[in-house]
Amino acid sequence: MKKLIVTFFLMLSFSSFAAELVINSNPSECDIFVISSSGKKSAIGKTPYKGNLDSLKSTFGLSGTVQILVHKPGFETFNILVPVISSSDVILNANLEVERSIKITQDVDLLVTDLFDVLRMMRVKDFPSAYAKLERLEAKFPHYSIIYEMKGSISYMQKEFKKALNYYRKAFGVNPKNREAYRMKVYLEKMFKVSTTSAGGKR
Amino acid sequence: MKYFVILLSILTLNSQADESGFHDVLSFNIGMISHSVTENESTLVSTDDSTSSDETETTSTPTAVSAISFNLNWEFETTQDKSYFAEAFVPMMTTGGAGVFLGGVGMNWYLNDLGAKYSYMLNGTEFTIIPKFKYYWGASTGIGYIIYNTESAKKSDVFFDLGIHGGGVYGFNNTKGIKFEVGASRATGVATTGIKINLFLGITQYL
Repeated sequence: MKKLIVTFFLMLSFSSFAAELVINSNPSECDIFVISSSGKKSAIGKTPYKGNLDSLKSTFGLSGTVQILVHKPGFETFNILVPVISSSDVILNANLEVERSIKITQDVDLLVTDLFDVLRMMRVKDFPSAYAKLERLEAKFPHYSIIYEMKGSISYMQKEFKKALNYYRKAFGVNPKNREAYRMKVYLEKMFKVSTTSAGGKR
Repeated sequence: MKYFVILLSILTLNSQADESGFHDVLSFNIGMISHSVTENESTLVSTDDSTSSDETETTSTPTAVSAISFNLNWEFETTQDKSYFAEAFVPMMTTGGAGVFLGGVGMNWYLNDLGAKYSYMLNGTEFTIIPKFKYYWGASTGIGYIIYNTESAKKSDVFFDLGIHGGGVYGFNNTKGIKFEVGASRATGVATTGIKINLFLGITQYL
């Protein structure tokens, strides 16, 4: 009887104080790997994951700090160093970012779609809406000369030539290979009799 | 009661981890305070009509106050191995109106690897470590007010309290735990001195 009671309390204490490792991710269904101090990479499952930290330690020979990788194709691999502290639950909610190349493609796709919208607005002479959309695009993509060039075009169509010249200059400054911006810049500089050397340099 | 609600509101509003990432802890405990009171001889006065003489000098008779009490404890400035706290004790069930009121501050030292919940958030990723079981010891000081009964009168006294304590917390989910604490202290009052023993069981909540 005494042995039974001791066994019961031992089991209770081990199960009660067993540390848990919980890993969730956005998106879900990501592969989870642990890297031991010897550099060995082992897969432990997929998210959402719930496991016993102590059994992981004994199975994969983990101690001290454990490196956890959360990976899904199309997303940047999430990498974190987790200190393994006795009798402590570890909860990780990993937010994986879309892979850089995919993100750039998505951004360019958004830019092109919005620029087509702007062109459509310009055709129907809805200049305020077109300008507002370009302002939003400029905040998100400040290094695309096409945005300044189109702002210049809107100003030109509204016969605000000085404003248009400023935008064409900016477009040319952002991307000196933008031929249309250069052509319009030179044209407007001639109109205002401004020297090209004093306003952006020769090309 | 109004001030108690305001205090709880403030603590709940500040329910984020501080810059270090460690969370404050609020605990509500119920338990027993046993305070032995011995009146200082210089303050003893006879409470009956008899005259005292050298032969019939009044002597101090120790008396004890035992009361089921409520304890509210707020741990702040938590780190991996220590925390500061402010606490208050009020009697709930007393015999003959006797009881101990106490307000104090102190410090806990955690004996295991992690003393409080730690969380870190960056770019939508959240990382949390929660101690499943933690145990600690600590020291505290405070000012109290005791109401006690002698054989012939009800008396009260203000005292300065200095003590030590120890306990443990078992976390049963990500924010709450069960706390057990036992403590002993020396109470030095204006008219009395005594030893205070307290034993509390309660619920902790990470803020």
